[in-house]
Amino acid sequence: MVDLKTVAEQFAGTIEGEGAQAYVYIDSSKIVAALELLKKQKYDILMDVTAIDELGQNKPSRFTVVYHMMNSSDWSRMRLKSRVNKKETHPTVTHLFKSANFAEREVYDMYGIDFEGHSDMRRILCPDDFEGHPLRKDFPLRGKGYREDFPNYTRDLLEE
Amino acid sequence: MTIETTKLNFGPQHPATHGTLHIELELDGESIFKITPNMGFLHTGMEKIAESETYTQFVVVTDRMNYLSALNNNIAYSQAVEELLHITIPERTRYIRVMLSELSRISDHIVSLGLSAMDLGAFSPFLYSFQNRERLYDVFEEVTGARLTTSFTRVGGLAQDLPAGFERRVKDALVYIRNTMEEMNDLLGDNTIWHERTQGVGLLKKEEAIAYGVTGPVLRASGIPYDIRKCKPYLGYEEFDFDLITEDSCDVWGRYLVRKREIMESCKIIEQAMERMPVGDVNALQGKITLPEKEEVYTSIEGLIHHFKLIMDGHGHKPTGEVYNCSEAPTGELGYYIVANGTSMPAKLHVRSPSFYNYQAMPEMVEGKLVADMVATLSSVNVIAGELDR
Repeated sequence: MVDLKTVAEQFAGTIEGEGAQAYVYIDSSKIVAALELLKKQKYDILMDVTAIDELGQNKPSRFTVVYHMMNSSDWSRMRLKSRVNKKETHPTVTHLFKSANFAEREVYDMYGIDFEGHSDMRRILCPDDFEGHPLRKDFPLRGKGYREDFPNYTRDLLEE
Repeated sequence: MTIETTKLNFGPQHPATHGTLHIELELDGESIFKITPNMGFLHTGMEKIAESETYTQFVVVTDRMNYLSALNNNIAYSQAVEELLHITIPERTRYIRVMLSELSRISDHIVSLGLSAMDLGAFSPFLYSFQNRERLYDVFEEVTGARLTTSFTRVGGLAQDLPAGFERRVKDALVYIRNTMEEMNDLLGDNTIWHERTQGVGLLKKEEAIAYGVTGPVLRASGIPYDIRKCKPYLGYEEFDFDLITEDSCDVWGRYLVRKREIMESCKIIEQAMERMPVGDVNALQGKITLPEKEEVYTSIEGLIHHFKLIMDGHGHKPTGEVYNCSEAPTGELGYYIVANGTSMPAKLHVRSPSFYNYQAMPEMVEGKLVADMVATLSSVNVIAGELDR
């Protein structure tokens, strides 16, 4: 039986959070191996993939990718996180879980995180010719006119 | 030998899409060679909206996700925020929520059954089911003041208590639903055309259902006993006596049977909830999490401060930490993942919508089959576009 602790030990992860909502941070180079192990240990349902933008919070990276796993025999849950920076790619898990296909496309569309090895890395919710990634914290909240009036419409420029 | 295929667009404005979806079909004669499901026509950026709304304000947005069962969305969201704030809701609220989410489940399932019959050309079941839903919407209107966009829950409670005479209305509605389900059974269950159009159509094997993260009636029709009300009880569902419905046929017929039987189970739960309905407050009183009575706000300084602390800009609930809370919506597992940063608005709110993952399994179910079967399959999956795109 695998739990959060064994995953953390095996893949040099750190556990944060408490109780049922605890989660483990794993380096992005080891996340595929970790999910592969979980899949073998009955955690074979990838319920959800999402990301968090931590702009300006003094975190080691800009984005965190979050995986929600579920055990198909006792329905217990496990949450794994991995860090990724802007302009870095993150490994895909579509070869392990078919459900990751749309989910990773959504993360790409909303946050601009490129999943390396994904066979169909297109936008999913926004139109193909859409510019920017809406769920990033530096995406302007107002509409088109607002953006045209102010030249500094994105903080991406400041960051570089 | 290469296959010469014909391209066909299904949607975005096709009556059988029940919303706005787009499916690109590559046809080899009349059979489907490949499909590409597309979405995003109803993308409203609800997750972005959440980042600039307080926890209470966002309840209104959740109505617009699965518009066939808005109450389930309201309840699931409030439940997630309550877990984040470590609040326990009063017993009465818990029972009211169970009852309302089951009523809403019935209205979703019954419409789904009616529509899937209509897509295959049977128009009468559709009329029966919509008439039925009308009854339930009358109940919702009396309780919440709105038929579709209910916005009924609040963090730590409900907008108001149940109105007088509520029980009688629900009992009448239940009698009506049970009768209609019998009639629907006569119209569909004993109908040869319905049998032939649904049995063996849209097959989704167990392993594939797990690989695609499918939930809800579609998963249970593939023989996997996963219902959050049983597997990870919330709102005290473990106290109620009802059955977990599964079917092993993995097809459209199985999904029809699961929905049909779940309606009957929901009726059972509602009756039990009404029987044991406790009396008392509907809002949690500890920690000044819910709004005070208007009387108190206007007559006492404590009440005024309490009100101010919840309503004014920059005040309100300020949780920290993160939570993933899931509940069984009519279409499947509806999960809210909230990351809070100690301000009155969430830093991140993600909705794990059941339709998003169920829709993804479409190619698996229809490739190699006939075009006509795709219509049957799509309506049996019950993809709600509002929830799909959020």
